[in-house]
Amino acid sequence: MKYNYIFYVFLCIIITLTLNAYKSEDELTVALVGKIAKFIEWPEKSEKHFQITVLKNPFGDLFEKTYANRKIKNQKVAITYIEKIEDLGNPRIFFVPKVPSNDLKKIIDYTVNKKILLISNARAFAEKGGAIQVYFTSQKPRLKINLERTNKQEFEIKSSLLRIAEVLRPENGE
Amino acid sequence: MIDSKHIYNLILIILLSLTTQLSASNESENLFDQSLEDLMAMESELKAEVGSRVGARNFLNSRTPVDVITHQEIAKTGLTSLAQVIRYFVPGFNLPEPAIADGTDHVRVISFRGMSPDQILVLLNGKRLHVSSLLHSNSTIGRGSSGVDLDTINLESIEKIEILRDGAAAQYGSDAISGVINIILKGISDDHTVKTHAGIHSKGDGETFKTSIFTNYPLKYDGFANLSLSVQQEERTQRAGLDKRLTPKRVESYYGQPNTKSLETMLNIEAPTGNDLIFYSHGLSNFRQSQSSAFFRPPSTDSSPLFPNGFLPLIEADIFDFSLTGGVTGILSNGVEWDISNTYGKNIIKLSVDNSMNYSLGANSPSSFENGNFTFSQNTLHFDLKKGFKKLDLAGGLEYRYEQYEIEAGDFASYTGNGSQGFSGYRPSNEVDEDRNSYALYTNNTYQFTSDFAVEAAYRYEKFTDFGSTSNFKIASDYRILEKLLLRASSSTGFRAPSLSQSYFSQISSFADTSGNLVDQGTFRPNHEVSQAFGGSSLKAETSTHFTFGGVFEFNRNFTFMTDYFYVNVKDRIMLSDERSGSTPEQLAILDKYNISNVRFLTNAVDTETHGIDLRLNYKHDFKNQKSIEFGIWQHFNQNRVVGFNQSSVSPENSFEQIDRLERGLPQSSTKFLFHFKIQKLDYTLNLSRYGNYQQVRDNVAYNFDPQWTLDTDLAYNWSQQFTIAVGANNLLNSYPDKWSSTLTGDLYAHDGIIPYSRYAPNGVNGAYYYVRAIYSF
Repeated sequence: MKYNYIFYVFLCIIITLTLNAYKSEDELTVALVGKIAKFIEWPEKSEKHFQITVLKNPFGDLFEKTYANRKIKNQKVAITYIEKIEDLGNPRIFFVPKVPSNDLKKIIDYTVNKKILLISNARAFAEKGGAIQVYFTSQKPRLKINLERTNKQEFEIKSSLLRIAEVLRPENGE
Repeated sequence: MIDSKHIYNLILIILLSLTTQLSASNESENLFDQSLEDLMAMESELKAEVGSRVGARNFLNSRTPVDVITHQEIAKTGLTSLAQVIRYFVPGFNLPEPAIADGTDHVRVISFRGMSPDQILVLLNGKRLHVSSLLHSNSTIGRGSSGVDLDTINLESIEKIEILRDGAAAQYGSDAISGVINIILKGISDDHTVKTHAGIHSKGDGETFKTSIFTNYPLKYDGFANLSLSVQQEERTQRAGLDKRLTPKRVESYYGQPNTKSLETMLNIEAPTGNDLIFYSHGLSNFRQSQSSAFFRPPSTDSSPLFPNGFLPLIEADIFDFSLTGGVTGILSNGVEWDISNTYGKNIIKLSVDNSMNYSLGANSPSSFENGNFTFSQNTLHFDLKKGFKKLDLAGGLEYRYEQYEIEAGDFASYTGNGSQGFSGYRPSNEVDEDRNSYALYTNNTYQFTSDFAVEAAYRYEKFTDFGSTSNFKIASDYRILEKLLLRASSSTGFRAPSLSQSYFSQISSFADTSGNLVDQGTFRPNHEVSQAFGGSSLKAETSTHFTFGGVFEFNRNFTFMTDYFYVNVKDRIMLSDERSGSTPEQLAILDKYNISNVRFLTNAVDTETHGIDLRLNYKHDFKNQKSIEFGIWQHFNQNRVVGFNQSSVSPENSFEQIDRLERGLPQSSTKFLFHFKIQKLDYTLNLSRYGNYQQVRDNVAYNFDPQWTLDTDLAYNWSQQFTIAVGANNLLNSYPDKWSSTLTGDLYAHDGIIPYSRYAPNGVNGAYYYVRAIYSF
């Protein structure tokens, strides 16, 4: 009986070892980037892939793990990492980590006339001219959308996304 | 016939399988496959900043053991003070509630791992908080120490409480020996709230009323300005026994919680600019009036001129506590983060005695006395730098600290002759105005060798103008040996600078000896000639070495098990000596010169060893339809031992009471069963606590007190998203600690005396407390 007991406890531990670990802020942020994309009306593009570009990747291999064999708008997701804005190309989404204000202004100006959705977890990103900001309070993710920016770039955002986000209306934005 | 072992095993398997399945069913392999609503409702990791200067990280991945109590958890209890909250959640954290102990009635003593109150460092938003100006000098836990007064901090402002269970003097400086408490204030996006609380003890006393307001104003660039205000009134409780000195026997002294009124305010502001600068400020102010009693003075020829029927001296404390931090932080274009800040804190305690007299003044004695003031102020200036590379995180900084301690004498009538009864005033010879400076240079770096293995090293050099310099180091490491199993270990050295109150406190007072007769006793500075005659000398710093080893097993994100072994060795621990009456002609002569019968003084008396184990098992599951269940089993064991004596004047024979208090005065084990169940609009919380046995010495005999169980419960109804009403009870089953053994006889301390319980009782002596509370958010 003693050995049965040890066996069962061991079995339960093995089962639990196969389960997922907790979800970190980084994991949630990375998942939200693609999930937000599903609530945007994207213009038709001829590319085979839905391109997400990440500046100075702070997430290790999380993007690859999360979007491996996943599709957004029926397109396979492709992830690209760049170190400087000049290498941006023409992705659908550009994720910007926490960067100094001067760099952020440069990025915002660089992309303002392009059909590229800027998403960031940097503080005051939306207020400083970015499109969508992901942030956390009391261990819960929150979204802030700068409608002036998204309107200027002619992104159509579904009302279901606007309902759960804090929206900076044009009169409130910078 | 079914074997009971089979049933036990079957239940165990079912429970583990159920737990596994419940956890598994709640998670998808890939978060991207979850709906947006589910993602937005998901809880992220709980981060802690304490324990490393490099930055906040998931507390489960911390290289040193950390507990985190969130404001959501605090909101599910009916507790009204920070110290109560920490006692409620953290085994090994003790909050005795002594009475008839002079100033200690008004500034509560805290203890962690059975160690001293001044061996806990308290931070507010990561900045050092000043200690109280009161030196606990009575026969209570924490005798001879000055700790932080946690009752000055308003609960409504708190986002979370981080408790580091490890030495951290190499990172934060003096005092971080038994642990570090870091209080993080609420930041952006919290609702405005109004809370009200009313409660009463089962004996119909101790009525408590508290109302709090928390307001949040958003500022530009995700900034905020938060302000909270609380008013609280607590009536006294009466748990004193009969006074056998009186005929007929009756209850005259007050023993229990004091009458208290308090007004607390706190602020927390972050004002970012558009160019990477963030100006910030946080602070508190607390004004508290508290009244307790001394022992009743029976009718006597001394008292007859004013109080022919005897009198009960009432000791009153007006406490003002203030702290304000201002700073600015930013990031340079090369990614270096910098922070410069200044924190100023002050604690003032004005002591007075009412309904008393000075026997020496006879019929001319006033009945009210101003007994003197204590003031402690502290100013800390910080400059910090931080830079992260791919695998390397560097942090370091400079600190300058200024401290000042003052005692102001009471009025003449409070100290002349025998002094005011109940509590003698401070004399002009006790007056002091001393200060000191310290300068520190520190660095704290982490290298991530692989994704599973990192090493953190810290070093701090600090120079004090009064006792010299000290260098301390810490090395900590974590190794994720399995995906779900993290092993961690740390080793460090530490120190605790003698507080200014320990170096400069002095007092002459009248105490009742074991026969009930009044004798004059002097507490002298360590280097005073009287202390020197008994072996005293200037205080030096306590030094410590620490070792911690443990691990965290994450069955999944909702089910974790954490265990850590700890060892702390403290050399030259400062202790207030026993009362000495002198044995040599020189000692007797000097006692005669100062006209006192006994002397005591603070001294680097002993070396101690503390070791033990902490266990934490936490489980949480969110069901659909707004149902969730959480439970935690938290356990703490410790053993404190005096392993060396450094002063010829201190030995096991002449300091039995003081040594026994260090070794056995607090429970060596403590357990918490925490349970929370939410079903739609109802929240039910239960906390079953066990405090292990403890000892107190009276008349050179150690008395043992059995373990105590308490059950706290709270039932809340969330009427709407804005309004919640709750009822609950702390110590629902009206449990009391053991009374003194019947073998202890006497008028004052005895099972049938005025003080029937030990002053060391780790959960107080007030019995059940019932309350109703309401929260309105907008």
